[in-house]
Amino acid sequence: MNFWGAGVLDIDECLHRLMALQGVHGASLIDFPSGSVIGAAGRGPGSRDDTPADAVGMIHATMQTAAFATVGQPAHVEDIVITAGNGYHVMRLLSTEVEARLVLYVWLDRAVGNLVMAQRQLSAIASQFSAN
Amino acid sequence: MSKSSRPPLLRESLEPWCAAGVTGALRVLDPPGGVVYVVDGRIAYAETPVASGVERLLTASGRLPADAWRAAVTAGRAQHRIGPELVDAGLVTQTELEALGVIALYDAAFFLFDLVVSAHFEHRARHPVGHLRTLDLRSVCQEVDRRKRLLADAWPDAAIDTAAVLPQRRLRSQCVALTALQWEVVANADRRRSPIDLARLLGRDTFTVMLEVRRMARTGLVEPGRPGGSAAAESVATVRAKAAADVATTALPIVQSARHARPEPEPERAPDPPAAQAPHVPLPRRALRHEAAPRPELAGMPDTRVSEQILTRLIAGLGAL
Repeated sequence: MNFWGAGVLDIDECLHRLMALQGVHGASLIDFPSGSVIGAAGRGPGSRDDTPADAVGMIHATMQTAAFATVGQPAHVEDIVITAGNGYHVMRLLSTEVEARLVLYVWLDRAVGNLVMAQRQLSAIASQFSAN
Repeated sequence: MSKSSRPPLLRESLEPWCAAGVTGALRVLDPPGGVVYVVDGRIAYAETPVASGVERLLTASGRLPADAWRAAVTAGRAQHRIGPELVDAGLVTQTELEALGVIALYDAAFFLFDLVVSAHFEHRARHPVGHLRTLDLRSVCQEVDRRKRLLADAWPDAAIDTAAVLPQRRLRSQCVALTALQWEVVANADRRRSPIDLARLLGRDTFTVMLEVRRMARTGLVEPGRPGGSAAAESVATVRAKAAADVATTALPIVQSARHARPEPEPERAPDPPAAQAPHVPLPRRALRHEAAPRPELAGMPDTRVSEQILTRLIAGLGAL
C-alpha cells in the first residue's frame, strides 16, 4: 500500500483514502468560511446536515482563541482534534497558497480508530491540494 | 394541475432535465443572465455575471496569473479542456480545481435558483473548463437554502450587500480577532466598495464576502453606507428587487393561476395553451421516462418555500429588535 500516495488525486479519491482508515465513520471536505460541504463520504455524527455546521463552529471558535493568543501575529492552526464520547473528530486546515479556506474533516471511532495514522494520512492528502 | 399556479423558479425548471438524466445547459435569458450546466442529470457547473466563476476565483485572487489562464483557454477551450490544461501544466491541482468549481457553482446557484426567469435548454452544451465535480440538484437546493438562512441570521437587511462597506474608524474595545477573509475585506474597503465589488476585486466568492461583511456589521466593526453605485452592485440590487416583486405576486396566485402553466415535460399536454404567453423553458422534446415516478423529496417544496422565507425574515427581524 502506498501510504503517502504520490499520484494526482481528485476529491473523491482523497475521501476514499480517508475512508480506508481503520475505524473511520466519515470524512468530508468543507469550505469553512461559507460552511459548505464540497464533498463527503461515510456518515457524520447525528444528522448529516449538522456535521459541517458543528465542525465549522468549532473551527471558528478555535481561530478566534488562537488569534487572541498571538496578538499582532497571524495565527496558524494546523489541525484541531476533539476527543469526544463518540470518537475522535479531526479537522485539518489546508494552507494552500491563497485558498486557505478548505478543511478536511475525519470522524474516527474511539475504540478502533488510530488518531496518529489519521493525522498522517491527512498530511499526505493535504499535500495534494497545493500545486508545489 | 393544482400546483401550477405560479411561474416556476429556476430550480424548478431544472427538475425535469435532471430527472431525465440529460446533458446540456440551461441558459438564463433575463437579467442577470447565467448558465446552469447539467451532466447526466447532475449539476456540473453554474455561472452568472453577479457571482464569482472559476476564472475570477483563480486570477483575481492572485492564485494564477491572468496570462496562464488565457493560455489554458486558448489551448483547451475548443475541447472543453481548460481545467485539464491547467492541471497538466502543474499550475493547479485537480483537487483544488474541483473545490473551486463547487464553490463557484454554489455562488452562482445562490443568485440564480430562486429567480423567475425565462430560460432555454441547450442539449449537449458543456462548459469549456471541462468536467468538474457534479452535484445532485437536491443538495444544491439545500445549500442555497442554507446560505439564505445563514445570511438572514447574520444580518437581516439584504441592502447591506450592495451598500458601501464602512469600517469603524476606531474600536471601542482593546482588541479584535478577524478571519483572513475579514481582514481582506477591511484592508480593501475604500468606503465606496460594496461587498459585491469587494468579492470581485479580491477574487473571492460573493456569498462568503457578503456573509463576512454581515457578520462584521453585527459585531459593529463595519456599517453599511450609501448604495454602492457600481454596475455590479446595481445589477444585484435590481435582480433582488425583481425577485422580491415575484415573491409578492406569488403570494397572490389568483391573478396568475390560469396564465402560467408549469413547463413540465408532459407530451400529451403540448398542443394546448403555453406557446403564446409562457416565456419559460421550452418543453423537452423527448418523453421522459423517469418523470412518471413521483419525486417525494421535491413534492413539498413549492408550498413550503414562501412561508419559510417569511419565517426566516420574521425571526431575523425579531432578532434585530
